[in-house]
Amino acid sequence: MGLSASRQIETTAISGHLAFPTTAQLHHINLPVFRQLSTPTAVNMTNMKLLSSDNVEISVEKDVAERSVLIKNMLEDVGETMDAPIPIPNVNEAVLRKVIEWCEHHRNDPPPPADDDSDSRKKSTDIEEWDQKFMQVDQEMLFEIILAANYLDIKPLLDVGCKTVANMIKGKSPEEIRKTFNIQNDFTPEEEDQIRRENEWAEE
Amino acid sequence: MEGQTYITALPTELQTEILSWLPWESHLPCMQVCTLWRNLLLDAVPLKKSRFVKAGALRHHQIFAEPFGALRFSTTIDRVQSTSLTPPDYSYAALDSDDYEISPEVRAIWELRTLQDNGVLDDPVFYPTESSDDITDANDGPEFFALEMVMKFVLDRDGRMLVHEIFKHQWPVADDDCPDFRMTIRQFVQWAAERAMEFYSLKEAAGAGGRVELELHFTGCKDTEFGFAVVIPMDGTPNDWKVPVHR
Repeated sequence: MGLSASRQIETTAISGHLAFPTTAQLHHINLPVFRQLSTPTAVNMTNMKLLSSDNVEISVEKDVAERSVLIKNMLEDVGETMDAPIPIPNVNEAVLRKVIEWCEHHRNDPPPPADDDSDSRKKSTDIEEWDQKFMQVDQEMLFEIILAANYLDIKPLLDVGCKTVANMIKGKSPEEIRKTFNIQNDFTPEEEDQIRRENEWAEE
Repeated sequence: MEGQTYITALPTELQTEILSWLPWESHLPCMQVCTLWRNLLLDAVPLKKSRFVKAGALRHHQIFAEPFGALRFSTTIDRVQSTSLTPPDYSYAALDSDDYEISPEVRAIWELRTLQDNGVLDDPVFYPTESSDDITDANDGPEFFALEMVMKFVLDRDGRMLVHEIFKHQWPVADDDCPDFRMTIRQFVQWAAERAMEFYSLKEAAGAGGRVELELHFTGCKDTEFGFAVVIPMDGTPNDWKVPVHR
């Protein structure tokens, strides 16, 4: 709508009928766009639909969905709420619902600070209680959430996910870490040999 | 789906992101988990950088930072034989005690016993400055290298203590003998061991079969102080002893 309105002005100007639109014309042209941007609480504007990778439509409030920078940018590019569901090709229904659940709980969080200097970044892996409970899922879901948060560009959720995994790693020996995440020990026999020999040496 | 490894199936950027939340001491056990993690931890810039701590104008390696503990090296004649980290309030007596409580991270490292192959030792002592990949300007480095050597243990073959001394020396950056501050931790330890051997007639002092254990405090600049311990067991006869030199 906004696009066609501005094109209309250009056309008018080029055709020479009217070099500049009158105030009344501008007001008339811009009014619908203006209303749309400034009143997001209008009933028909708040809900939108997402389409999961397994083709399930999920209805979600716009400001909840906009916790995702990807979706937010998409909506800004389009300039209005789309009636058609936005396809989220990388995320299945179960994961998408989980992500939306997180976004709903965190809908009023202040935006994260833009400054992401690794020096100033808090290295604390403390996780607030609600998020801790939220992340009590099996490993497959946990990593799916991390992938989805990364794809949808929801930095705070990505951080919570990564911190959760980091906390599962902390304080464990290499063997315990492998066991926890079912990681294959892929060091060559030579490398293993060397480690064992040196361990023997150190035991003395 | 049973037996599937989810974490190593993630894109490496995300595995890096996960590892970046770990305290640096967890890097050590993680490097022994699999080759991918080892390579990420050694090479990925954000991970490598997190092993350094800013102190004053410098960014020195966390391995020297209090209160984590002391870094202990054992050297034989020609190379560093083993490396381990000891708890912050470490004492020789405490280490022999079973009921001594240490944090899980330290325990995990302690159980490794040896870090000889651990790439962390090939990290530089100081992290290059923000703007460049290398320290090229002397102003970016420390003003001087200083060592405070607390020679607690020079033991003869029967375990009798022969020497207990404290020694301090500073090497101004301009000094010819001052080490290159781009050197790795491994090289630094070798250098420190060499200096220690020079300043004391350690070989002669300990005698055949004796042992020298040094505790060094290294001061990088005015407002930075960090320490570690070097353990140099002396085997063979005095004539066989050479200053351990790292290539």
